Amino acid sequence: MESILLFLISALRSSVPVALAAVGGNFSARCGIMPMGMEGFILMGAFGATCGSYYTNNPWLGLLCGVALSTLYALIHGVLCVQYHMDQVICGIGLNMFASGFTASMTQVIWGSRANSSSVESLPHIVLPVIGNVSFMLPLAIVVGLVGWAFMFRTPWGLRLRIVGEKPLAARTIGISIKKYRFLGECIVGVLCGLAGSYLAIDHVNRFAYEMSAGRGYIAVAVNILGAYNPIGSLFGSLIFGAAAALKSVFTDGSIPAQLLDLCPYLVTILVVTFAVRHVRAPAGIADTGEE
Amino acid sequence: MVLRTLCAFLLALIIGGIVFYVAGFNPLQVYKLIFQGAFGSVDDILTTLSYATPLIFTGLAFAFAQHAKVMNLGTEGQLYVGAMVAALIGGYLPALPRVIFVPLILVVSCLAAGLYAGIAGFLSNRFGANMVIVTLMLNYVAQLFCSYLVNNPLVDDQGIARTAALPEEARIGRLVEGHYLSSSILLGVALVLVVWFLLNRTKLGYEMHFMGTNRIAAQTAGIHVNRMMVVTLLISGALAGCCGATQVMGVQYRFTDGFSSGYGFEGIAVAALAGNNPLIVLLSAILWGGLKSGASSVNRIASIPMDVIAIIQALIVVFMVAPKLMDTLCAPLKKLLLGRKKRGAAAAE
Amino acid sequence: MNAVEMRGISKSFGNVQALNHVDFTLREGEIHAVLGENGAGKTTLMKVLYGMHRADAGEILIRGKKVSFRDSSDAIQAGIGMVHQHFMLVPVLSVAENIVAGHEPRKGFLYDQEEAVRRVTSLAEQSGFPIDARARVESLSVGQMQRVEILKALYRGVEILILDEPTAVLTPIEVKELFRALRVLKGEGKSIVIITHKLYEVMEIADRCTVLRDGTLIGSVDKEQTDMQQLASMMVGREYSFEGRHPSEHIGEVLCQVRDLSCQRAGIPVLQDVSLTVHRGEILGIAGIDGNGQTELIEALTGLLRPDSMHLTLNGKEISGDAEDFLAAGIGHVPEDRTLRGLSLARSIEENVILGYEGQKQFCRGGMMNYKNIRKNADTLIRDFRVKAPSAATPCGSLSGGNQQKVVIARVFSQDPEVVICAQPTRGVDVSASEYIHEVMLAYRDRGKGILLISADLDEIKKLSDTIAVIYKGRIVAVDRAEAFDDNRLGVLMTGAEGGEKCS
Repeated sequence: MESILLFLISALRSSVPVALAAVGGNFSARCGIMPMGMEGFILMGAFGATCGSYYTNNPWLGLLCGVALSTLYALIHGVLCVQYHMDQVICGIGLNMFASGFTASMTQVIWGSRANSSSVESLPHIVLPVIGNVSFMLPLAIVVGLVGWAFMFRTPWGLRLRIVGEKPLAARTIGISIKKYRFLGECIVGVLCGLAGSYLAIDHVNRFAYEMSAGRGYIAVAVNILGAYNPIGSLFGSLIFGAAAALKSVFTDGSIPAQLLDLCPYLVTILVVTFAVRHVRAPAGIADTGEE
Repeated sequence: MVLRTLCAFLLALIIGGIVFYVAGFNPLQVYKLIFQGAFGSVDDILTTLSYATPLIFTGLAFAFAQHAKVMNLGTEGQLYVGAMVAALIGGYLPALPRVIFVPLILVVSCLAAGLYAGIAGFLSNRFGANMVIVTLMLNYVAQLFCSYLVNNPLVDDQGIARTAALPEEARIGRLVEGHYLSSSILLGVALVLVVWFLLNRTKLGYEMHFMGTNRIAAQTAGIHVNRMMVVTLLISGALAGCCGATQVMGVQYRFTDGFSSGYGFEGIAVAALAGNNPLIVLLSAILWGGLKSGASSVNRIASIPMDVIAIIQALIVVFMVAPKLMDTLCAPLKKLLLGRKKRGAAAAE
Repeated sequence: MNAVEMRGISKSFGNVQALNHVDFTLREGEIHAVLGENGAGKTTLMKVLYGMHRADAGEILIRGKKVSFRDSSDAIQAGIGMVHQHFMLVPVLSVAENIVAGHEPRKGFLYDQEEAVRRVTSLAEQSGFPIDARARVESLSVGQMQRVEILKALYRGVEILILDEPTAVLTPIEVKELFRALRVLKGEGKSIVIITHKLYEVMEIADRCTVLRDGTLIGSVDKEQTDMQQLASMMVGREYSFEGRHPSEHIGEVLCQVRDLSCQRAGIPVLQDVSLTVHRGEILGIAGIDGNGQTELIEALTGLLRPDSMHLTLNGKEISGDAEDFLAAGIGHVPEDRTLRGLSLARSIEENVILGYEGQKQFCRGGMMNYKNIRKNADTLIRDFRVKAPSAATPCGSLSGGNQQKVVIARVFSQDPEVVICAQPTRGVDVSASEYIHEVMLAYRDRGKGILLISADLDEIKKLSDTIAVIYKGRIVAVDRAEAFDDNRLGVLMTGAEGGEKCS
């Protein structure tokens, strides 16, 4: 019983960053931009948060730095894809490569090792009933999912955002600015990936590590699909990955080698994008620039 | 096109230079040292070529598939599979005479890597899985599984995560006396020609190009695009597998955990700089090899972050697929060049 | 006062001059037709007015005031609405959402769904376009979608309404309804522009007409003072004869027979028990409104779609398999949409002109392509089919629409198939190229081959066909000799008004 509870709590914790990124990814996809750069946004967010916390000794300012850096990075993705019509997937992959190289070299410059930063102040935890000691980002992720859903499906701006993502040319003909809504989408995905990255670096642990996003940005894309591009769906979808990642906390005795346990979330991702995609329709305007 | 490539490269160097500057180094000095370290002496050039060898294979792998608009982001995982299979056959099966054994290992390990790449094609065809996600996830799966193998069942007596050493019969020899550059670079050069031929002179290449430029038209003309996609991935994966196998057989002589420094992703940069042209991939790979070897030699003198090379590579990937951006950025340079030409012409008169 | 005055409008795309100093005047409360061939610049001119394109030169006055639109929202502000030829609707959203988007009724921060439905429903009833505001757009018929587009403009309170080829996709009955509605709108004082290339529409609905040719203004005339003959020669630029048919002189034995072709898509039958016969020396035309199963028919007969049941025989031999097998068996295919299915615009003419036949011995041996023969073949075809191109190595993307289509035609007809499935062979092609393509088809038929012609252009069907089959909702509702149909009978059959005739 105890161990089941432990597993569930661990699953919740592991799903927080994926959930945050996935909700952000929803906004990106729904406004017509394939969020392939989330891996890099998360990494930048994590790095920014670590730097901020390191230099100010204040984890909250660190969080702010993480979110700011990630958002800035997402906006660069926006400029390249929206302004310069770059292939969204390659652009995302390129920016992920850049983020990996950039954070590694800066880590070496600042802390003398490319693998790890030194430890920094991390965010304080809150205490919830039953679950106990957790990050404030767990309830935050749930709120973000709910508010995100309401924004997307219950407000005029959400409607317009979806029109831009479904048929940009149609949006243009009724005077809805494609650029405005796509940059809005990029901003949201940037902020949320920044939160996800900060969670990894200064909440979950207290340092930055090389490639610490570990594919979560791509997993979040899979969660998008699994959740039918719906923020609430993404919250539930991310739990599956949280559970796969939490297996590690159950088998701590070494009966199953660590590498095989680490492998689980990635295998689950493959299974999800293979078998869950059939009944999910992606926004039709992804990669459509809305030009004639 | 050439101007755009040059421009992209220059711009990437400048941005990389800024990072060097921030890190407290003089970028010009660093680039000079890198260049000297890469091409300064015969020995340095041989080192550069040995850095370039794996990049030739992964660059070809990515570039080849791009012609059919198949984005094979799984080269990293495929090269792990190739390397592991080569290490297993070479290290644990009874050795055969070298003339048979070396080609045999190469063929089998490339085949295995190709099949591994084929999984992504199959899932994408059969179930509509997102190819980008699947290939990327397969990278993690291959790396972690190989890591599991060398850490657990195959771990050696000293507790080091590596397979048994390959016997002499399974090794690809050195190209020149006194330097560790492997002869597998010759295989790389040969494959460059083979890939060029495949793309430009065969029915396969013809059909790949139609599939890459208009998939529906290809289908209408009776080309089996699904089958073609799998074939493309098989070949691309086999090329990536060659990278892993030759690293094991020609350089390390065994599989070591985490042996690849991201050759797969570097291959994307190699292909991007070459505009996916297989012949230029060779030059592009040597250029990147030079940057890497130069940077590592500089790194021995000062603690310069090697990862700046990764930044430069990433920028090339971004710039090369953003023609609109590059045209904007190139415009002043073009004006300058043309202006000078005009002025030159005027002066001549 | 004029509702719109455009003076000296010029616009070019790259090296193509789409509009050259065009003047255009729309009077308050009139229906004005903009007439011209494909590519004459009609749509471009109206997109300039609607703020989607920015003119390189010239000025626009709305009710006497000079304006400069940055984008469509400025045009909407100025009371201009446009119904595009390709509908600008989002299929997954509801009718109400599509109509109110951009000017949504709100309740606090939230979008007020109920209010939107109410407003749209009442607007629809007022304008005489009843429609279910909650329905998803993808579930509507083409005619209903057009209503949604018009309502979208009316919702924004437009005074000037532009319709781009509004009748192209409508059934004759829907056309009548549309025209009735347009007259009502005119009665309310709205000024309406309709873009068209159909002369009789001008005569039926318009008050005045502006004719464009090759991006230049030919003239504006009152309907009262002109006739079809004059409009036609203005449009085409020479004396235009409403040419007659070229019936086949010798229809021979059965060449290709289709029986029991049925097919479903997403559980809905799109083709039901279709049976057709093409004889030697015969062009069999399929008449029907777009979207009645033509696309599936083409795909089934070319092996692209595997129907639930079909028996297809060519010269008595049963054919099955996929697209490759059908091509090899001698069924040529001119696809509906050349840029989508017909060509790869990025590849050269010489490569495109053998697409689908690249495995033939003269082009390919043992997996190796013979580029010398491929070039020779392309040079011959470029000459024979009068393709205007600098060389065989030119990418198809830099050819004009007509020449692109000639490449497709050259590819198919040069292979000498037994029967050709010819879909929309002259869609979006200029007059001279389309006449040439018709010649090729007729000559081919006269050599004793067969053609199955599928076209949304009824005039083309009537001109070329020896036999006409009418398709409605996936069924063949009538087959008869072409002379046996008049416009009235075709119209009735195409709309299923009488539940079809018994097929013989």
